[in-house]
Amino acid sequence: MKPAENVCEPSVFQTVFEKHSQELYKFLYYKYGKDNNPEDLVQDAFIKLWNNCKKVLPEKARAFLFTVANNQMLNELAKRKTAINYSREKPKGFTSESPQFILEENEYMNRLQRAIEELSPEQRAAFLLNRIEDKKHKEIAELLGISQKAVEKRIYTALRILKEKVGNL
Amino acid sequence: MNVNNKEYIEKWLNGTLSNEERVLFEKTEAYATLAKLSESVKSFEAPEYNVQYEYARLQSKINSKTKVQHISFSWIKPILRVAAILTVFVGVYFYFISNPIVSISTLAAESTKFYLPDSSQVNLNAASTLEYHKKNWNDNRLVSLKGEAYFKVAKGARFDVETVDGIVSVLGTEFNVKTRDGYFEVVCYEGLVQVKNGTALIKLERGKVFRIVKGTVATELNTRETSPAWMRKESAFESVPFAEVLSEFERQYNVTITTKNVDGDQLFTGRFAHTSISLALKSISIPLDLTYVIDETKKTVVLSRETK
Repeated sequence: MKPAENVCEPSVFQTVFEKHSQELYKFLYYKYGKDNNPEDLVQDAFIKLWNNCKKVLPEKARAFLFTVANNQMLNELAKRKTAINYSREKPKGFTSESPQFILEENEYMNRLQRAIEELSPEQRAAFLLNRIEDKKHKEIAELLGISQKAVEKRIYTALRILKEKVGNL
Repeated sequence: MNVNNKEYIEKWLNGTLSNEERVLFEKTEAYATLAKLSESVKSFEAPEYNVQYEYARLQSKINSKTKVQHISFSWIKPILRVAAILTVFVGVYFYFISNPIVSISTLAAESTKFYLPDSSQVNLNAASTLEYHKKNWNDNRLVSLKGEAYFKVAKGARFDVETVDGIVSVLGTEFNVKTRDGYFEVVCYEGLVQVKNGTALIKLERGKVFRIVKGTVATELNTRETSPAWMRKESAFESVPFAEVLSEFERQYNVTITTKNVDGDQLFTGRFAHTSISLALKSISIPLDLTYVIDETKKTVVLSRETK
């Protein structure tokens, strides 16, 4: 990528989209849940990027997108109550399942889901990005524009809350 | 969870445990719970995101958006501005300048009753037109009339009826004005009516009739009626030239009358109903010893006197 290029160049814009859209989508999904249409929020954020393409350098596009999407979401949330709902796939690796085991397992997953839904969006986003997407604290701090220490605290607090709510097997 | 544990857990979360630390940590009681929790959380992974599909969707959105913006900036705004200015002008015109004329007309064989803005009552006979200015009605009660109308005027300022044959002015009264070709008649049913015909100024009391037929003024005519006969669906005449009776008949039934050997100047006193043409024809033909032939389809009537 030449330094003179800006995001208004369709090829640059496409590269930026391919590079960051999925990451942005996952962040929004983890933070606000699927009922808040993370796909559409991603679209809106990129439309904003397109409209402001002259002002945003390709290196800054990622930060711009995350800020815009997050702000937009906060505005949306101010208008209506959050309804978070997570899809859930059966965890792999459990082969010999007695009915009781399945029942307990379901019970456990339900409690976990409820507990995740009850986390604050900030805690949830940091925790799930770390646990599911295997992102290091430093990366998450960059994404959210906060200190590494704050990320650490969020993830740890989230884990403690979940552990308390879900309990032992 | 003690302080020691917290340190381990944070390192574990960040993946920065050394090998010895990990062995130690995995032996702790808390680890099994955390490992299970951490493993289970993975099943809440975000659904698949189709980058290609979403990019195509974004492109179509961007294209349509720029089009919409283009249209709205170049056309809709200026049009709205022009429309807003026009609205102001039209509003000012109607509020300050325009003084719309209200016109009420009846066709042949039709009559109507309506009220003026001050709730004065007007009954308009067949084939007549009445016009007045809507604005400042209470300060300037002036109507112009072609044809025949009965007025029941509400109390208030001077009320004028303008006709080609003269101006009729009143103060709270009931009267009938009839102005047809060569025929002008004012009947006062209540109160006092003033008729100005050219330079002549005539005051009509209750029950008096003023009539001009072909330029000849007839006063000293009286009526005992309290309202015009046509409002009761008949036409009444007292010493009226027969030609005018026939014209009235044509207006009420929307027919054409031709006559043979009939003297139009002969005075006629009598009445005919508006509800039955055969009955009405008898009413006007028998007294003068005439015969009639009626053609319903062509709407024509031939009145003739049998020569003996």
